[in-house]
Amino acid sequence: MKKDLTFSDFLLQFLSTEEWRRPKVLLNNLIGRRTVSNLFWGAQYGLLPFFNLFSKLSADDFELALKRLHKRGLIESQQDGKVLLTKTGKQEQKSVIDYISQFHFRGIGLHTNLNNIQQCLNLVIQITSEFSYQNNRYYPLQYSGQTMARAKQWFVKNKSIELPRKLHAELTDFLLTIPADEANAFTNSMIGHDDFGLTDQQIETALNVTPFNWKLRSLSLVAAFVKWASADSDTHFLCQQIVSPWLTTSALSTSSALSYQLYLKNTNLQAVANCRRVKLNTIKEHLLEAAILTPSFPFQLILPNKFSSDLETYLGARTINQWQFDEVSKLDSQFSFFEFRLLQIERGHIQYAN
Amino acid sequence: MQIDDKQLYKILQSKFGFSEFKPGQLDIIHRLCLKENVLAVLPTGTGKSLVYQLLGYLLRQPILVISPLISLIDDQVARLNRLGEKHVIGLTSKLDHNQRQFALNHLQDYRFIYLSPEMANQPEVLNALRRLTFGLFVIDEAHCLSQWGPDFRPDYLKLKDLRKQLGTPTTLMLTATATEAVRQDIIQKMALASDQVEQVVYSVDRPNIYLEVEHCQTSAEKKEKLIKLLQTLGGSGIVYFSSKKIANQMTELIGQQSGRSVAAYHADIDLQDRYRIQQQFMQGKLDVICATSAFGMGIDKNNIRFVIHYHMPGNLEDYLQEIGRAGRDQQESIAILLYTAGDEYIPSTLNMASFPSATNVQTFFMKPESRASFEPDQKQLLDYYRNQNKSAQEVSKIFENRQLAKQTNLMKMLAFVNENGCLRQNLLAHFDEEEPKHDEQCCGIDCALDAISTLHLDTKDIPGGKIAYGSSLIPWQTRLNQLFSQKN
Repeated sequence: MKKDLTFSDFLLQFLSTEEWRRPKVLLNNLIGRRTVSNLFWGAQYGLLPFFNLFSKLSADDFELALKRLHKRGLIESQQDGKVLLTKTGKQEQKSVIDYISQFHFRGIGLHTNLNNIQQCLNLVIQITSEFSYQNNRYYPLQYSGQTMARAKQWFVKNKSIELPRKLHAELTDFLLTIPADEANAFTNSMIGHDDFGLTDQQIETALNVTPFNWKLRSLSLVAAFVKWASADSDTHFLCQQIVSPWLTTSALSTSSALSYQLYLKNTNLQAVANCRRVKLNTIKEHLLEAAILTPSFPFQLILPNKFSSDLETYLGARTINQWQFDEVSKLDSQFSFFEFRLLQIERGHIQYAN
Repeated sequence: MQIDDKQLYKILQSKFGFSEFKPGQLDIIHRLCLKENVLAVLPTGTGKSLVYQLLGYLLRQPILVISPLISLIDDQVARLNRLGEKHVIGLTSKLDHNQRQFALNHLQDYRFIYLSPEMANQPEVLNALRRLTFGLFVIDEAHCLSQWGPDFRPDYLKLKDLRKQLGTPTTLMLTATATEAVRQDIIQKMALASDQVEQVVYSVDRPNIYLEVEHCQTSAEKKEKLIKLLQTLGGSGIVYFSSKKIANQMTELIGQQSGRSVAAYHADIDLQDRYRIQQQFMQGKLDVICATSAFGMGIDKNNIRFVIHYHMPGNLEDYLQEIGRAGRDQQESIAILLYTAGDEYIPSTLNMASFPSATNVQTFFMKPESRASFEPDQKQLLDYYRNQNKSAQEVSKIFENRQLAKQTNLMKMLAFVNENGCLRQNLLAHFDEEEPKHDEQCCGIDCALDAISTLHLDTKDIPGGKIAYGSSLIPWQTRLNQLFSQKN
């Protein structure tokens, strides 16, 4: 168990000894910036499982973490900012990957912001706890208007004398699915009547771990809760209702999902653009997002069945990250950047789960 | 409006749970009932908010409260919620589109409407506000109106127009600290004549807080002294730092070396942890809070026995505000300022950095494309002056003067730190107050440990129930039972 895990250590898993990588891609994926280029490179670097888990990460803190890796001799940098893992870095990376592999985020950040769910859960527990002690004069936790409104709606809908007992039972069911130490940490941060829980720092001290170690564990606990609560079940409808308003079924943005559905119906890009009254290029961007994030994307509908032998030779001799569009267009002038990127996505390995 | 004091006491008891008014409250309420505009200077902890909140129950018209920070608005809304008041809204950027629309469409249903001056300038909000007739127009932290004060906010200058557009409702301007010059400036900035405003000014002095300055030769000595003080002092208290990083480091050191339960509290601590820390502190489960000036918002703990400044504040107003957290129960308390030569460079550097340089002002005015790259606070400030049709030179001059004023305030703070005579006299002179009578309960220099002993502030309370440094976690089954009032 890496009790001393830092954010710098965590970044090592996304770096390589063979390929210079762009730090900006790491930062943008971790904070959940959804652009095609970012998602594409994020997929190549193994970032998608962790997409949007650290939405509040600042560029300064990220820079500082890289500087620390540099200082420890774990990475080297180019003038353009790209970084490469050193041999020492590679050794360190292995133990980090071993440790991180116990956390399963599975790209949940593509469907939600875990922070919002954590806050909504905190508020719902506080409201129910105060209600169980028949107290309606207390300081509610102050979150965004949307969080406050959803927690209130949940309470109004479920308010009954039985509510505290039922929520207690559902949370017990969940906590039995995780190790007792994790369940203790999860519940010790909860806020309720006359009982304000422990702060992050107090929990870190109790567990004797670094702030980042606890951050990752607490995110993983919320992710586990979301997975459990959103699974089809008629035994935990209260928790399901806390989670479901925050989750999208598709990993795509709403607009991309709409374009993709329309495309699947009529398979004509221009028709989709007309229908949605947006530029053709926008639809192409939406489909690229769909190609990256949808395992069953129908590449064969867009890409040519066969390529010239020169092109096939060029593509086969390199990894997809080494393909250069300029070179490819020389070999086949009909080949568009849209098709080029699609082909990279089709032939590349995309890791959806960690 | 004819009012009966009996009725006021009845509301005081039923809505707020008090049987007596604090000094100044009743006087101000009487004046407001007679529709007099009031500028009230009441020291921290004397119940300024209660004045207008009580009127909210007396008048059958909504109360509009302008407050400078979202955190302050949230705090007031949460407090009113806790008192059982549902008809209260904080119109802030935290509301999403639907909630905002709902609130604006139902504004007449709220008893208390809080909003920031920036929000009041939005046409949609202004239109909704104009449809109502307000019982009272309240400007909280009114010293933000004064360019002579340390917390000047340009957006506050538009409040005079807002007041006019709302039909000049009776106005209450509230502040905890304002010199004579600042008070005059506030009245002028609200476009009111002196005879249109009743000034209710109470002494800023808090005689139950013993003032102490400790001079240390080195920062190591300061660190040692802080630990020694915390080992000696009983009860709970706040230690103020000027940097989040040092607040964090010292929290760890205090936890390990002083045996006190302690937590850091500043802008980097997330919302729910701030809430937990506030509540743990209020309940006496935490002894010491290591805070930056972000702290203070929302803390209403009566029995804080000590406030220690590890770094000096930038002006006497902030100092007074921060030490004012101590001894609200009127019991003996102590404020200790630890000083090492050179400490003044921190606030001085902060002052320098708080305004854009003349070159940056020039760039902002001449090159519109550069504006997006400015820090949001600076951009807001520069936009304000640009919209006032000021030239780059004029704005630079304004900033130069403001910076000078801040440096002057810092020098006064430094003069307090280096005072050889009576500290309280030095402090009160700044607020144009009469010379107090100095006695052994008043103040001291470099004798904090003796003072603690003389004032009996070294009485240790029973340690039970504290969150000890590194205490272990409670089993989850027990936690759930506690949370939901379930028996095992």
